[in-house]
Amino acid sequence: MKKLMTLSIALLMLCGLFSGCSVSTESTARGVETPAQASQTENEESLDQSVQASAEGRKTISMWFWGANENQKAAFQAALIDVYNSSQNEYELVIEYRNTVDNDIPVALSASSGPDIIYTSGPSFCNVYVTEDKLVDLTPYAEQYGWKDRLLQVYYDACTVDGKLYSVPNSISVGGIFYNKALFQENNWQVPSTLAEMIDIMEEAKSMGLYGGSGGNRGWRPSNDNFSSVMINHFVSPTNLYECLSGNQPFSNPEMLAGVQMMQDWYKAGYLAGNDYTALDSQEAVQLIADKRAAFLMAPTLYIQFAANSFTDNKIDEFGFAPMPNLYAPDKDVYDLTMPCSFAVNTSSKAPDECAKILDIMLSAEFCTTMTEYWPGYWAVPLKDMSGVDDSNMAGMSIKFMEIIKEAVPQINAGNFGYHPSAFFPPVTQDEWRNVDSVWQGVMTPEEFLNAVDKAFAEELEAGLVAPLAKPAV
Amino acid sequence: MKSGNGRIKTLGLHMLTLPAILLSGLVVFAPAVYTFYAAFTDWNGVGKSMNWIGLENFQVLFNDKVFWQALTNNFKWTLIFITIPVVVGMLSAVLLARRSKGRNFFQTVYLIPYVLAPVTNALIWANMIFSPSGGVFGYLRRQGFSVSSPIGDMKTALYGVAFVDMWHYWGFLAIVYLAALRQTPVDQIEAAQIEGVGGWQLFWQVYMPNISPTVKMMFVFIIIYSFLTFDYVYLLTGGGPAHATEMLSTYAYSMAFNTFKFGRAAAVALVMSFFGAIAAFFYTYLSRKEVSE
Repeated sequence: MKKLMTLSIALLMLCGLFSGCSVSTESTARGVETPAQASQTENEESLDQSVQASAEGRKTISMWFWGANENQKAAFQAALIDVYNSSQNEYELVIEYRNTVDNDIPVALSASSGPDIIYTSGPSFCNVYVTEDKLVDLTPYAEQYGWKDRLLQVYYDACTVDGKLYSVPNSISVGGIFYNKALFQENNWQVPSTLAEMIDIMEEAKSMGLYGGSGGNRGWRPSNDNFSSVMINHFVSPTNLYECLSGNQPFSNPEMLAGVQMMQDWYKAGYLAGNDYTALDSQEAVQLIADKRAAFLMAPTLYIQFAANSFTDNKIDEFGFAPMPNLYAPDKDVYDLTMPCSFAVNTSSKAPDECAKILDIMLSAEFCTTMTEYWPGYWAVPLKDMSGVDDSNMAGMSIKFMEIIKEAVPQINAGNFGYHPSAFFPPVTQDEWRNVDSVWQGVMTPEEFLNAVDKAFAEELEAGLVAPLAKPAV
Repeated sequence: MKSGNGRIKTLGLHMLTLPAILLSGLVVFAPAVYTFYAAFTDWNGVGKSMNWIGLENFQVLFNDKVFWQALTNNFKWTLIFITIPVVVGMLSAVLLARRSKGRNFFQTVYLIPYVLAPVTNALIWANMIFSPSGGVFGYLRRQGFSVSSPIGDMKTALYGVAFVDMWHYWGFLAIVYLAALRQTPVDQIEAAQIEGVGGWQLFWQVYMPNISPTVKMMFVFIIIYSFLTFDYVYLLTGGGPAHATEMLSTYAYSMAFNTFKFGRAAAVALVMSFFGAIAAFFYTYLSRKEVSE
């Protein structure tokens, strides 16, 4: 009897061991902890939706996104989920919010698994997925829905590989300078039209005990790209960067070297929050502007999502944004461009046509309108024609964001744009470029830095991982 | 020769270990072998193809300044952790061992940082203490003190992060050492006290020989964990500023998920495991030596 019991217990334990293998992706995601232990997946709603979808007989189309807050989720619900689900009876869109989505996606794709709609932090990540045949060629859908005519060419081209479209951009984000209008009024400062004027204001701010410029990369080292992009695209002509990214000249050319040296000088002068750069995060960097403790913040408009938390109530009217002055075309407003994220379709999806429909919704003026009403700063769909975006119901930071974008789009159409590393550099080159803080800290020389960038870029150019670029006019 | 009944009993006992063996095999052994193989390939972590490239990954690593920076930081971290929290934990344990009242209360308080999730601890320290904007350091600066956030300065960032992890860890060490101290035979302590032995001599001559296996074990664990350390570095500085706090773990993580060099990241993981294995073998050697003595 005892022996029978012993064997039975052993078998039961074995069964208990293997029962864990039957857990679905959704419920596993709820308990997953990443090495950083930053995961708090909140997919109870998505699991409920999935269950409900099954109950109604609808098939599920899944999408993963990063860990949005309740307001942001409400934006998705109103602008995308409800719109798509009510447009047909066969499928239900379910979004899972995962703080670790950047890591979860490649792991899932390596197992030929993952959601139907793939989120990435930019098209450069898509290139690797494309080489491994993990993403659907969206070119036929682009023709069907007219995406090429609808989207800004520079954004469309950035999402192509070998001439075929593999992802779509979510939003325009343009670089410029954030400032506080009340602080400027109090000190009789004018919005600078030259870099020299900008330096004068920052030096005066420093003499008053303020930060000359704000900035910070705590918690998200890729923030280095945001600040370096605004600076380099206004210290060095975007045409120089275009030639580098086209493989026609090295990054370590004299103009670029001078530009990187200038970035180091600006960092050392304290124009990026000085020694506090690594101790401040993006929200705090914006808060310094709202609190009138810094003259400028050189950053892309996606920081407006942080500004919405800082410039509240009567502070909203203090919010200011202007194009950053540049060294090469002082009479033109030039914007370095990026996209907060991009979306693609998984080759293992059983409903690619429906996924394309969902992407089409996300590339519409109506989607842009609703998302910006809830969530300013992240969802300015890169349309050539923004007149369809209805800002009549927008208020606060939403209307300010849309005004900035509508002002920038004609400049972009005219070719007055530059290239943000996160959107236009291939992944290893991007990672090397991110070491720019080593130059700022004096650990690396500009030459060493650009030589490393050159080496990484050459390998990726040869491997076909560099996206085609629209040529700028400056 | 075993009887049939004996064989069935032995089989039953072996079956009871099967779940643990299977679990270890699936979750530990198989990925370890896979990682070992991946370290010698150009695997990008997404596709199935893993082309053998021999020692190329290791050659690239050994020529990378950031790798050596990370390795040096791991050694510094190990030196810090085998001294400061060990001394603080031991001192606390000795003081607690002499208390009968309030011991449980202190043990609970000491364990609070340890049981909180690292992300919680990191957020507290980053936002409420280290932040030059809204934290204690920001407040001190506004009061006129010339201080800068420890994690903002290349010279102090590693020690700032290590301080937070030590704050999180020393309480656990204190509890482990306290448990070991309480296992010391009372008659030995009393005999020593009768002989007039007290203070440092009592600790070194009576307590230490009894708790030495525990101390050695925790030493080895500290060394292993020091080469695996990731959470607080990632959460507080991400390896910055300018790689000043880069660890082998954050270096591997960035390599894998930012540049899709999973093969090279696996090579870094092997280096980390190498040092952990040295510590483990050393511990095994010491344990065997003790048993034979």
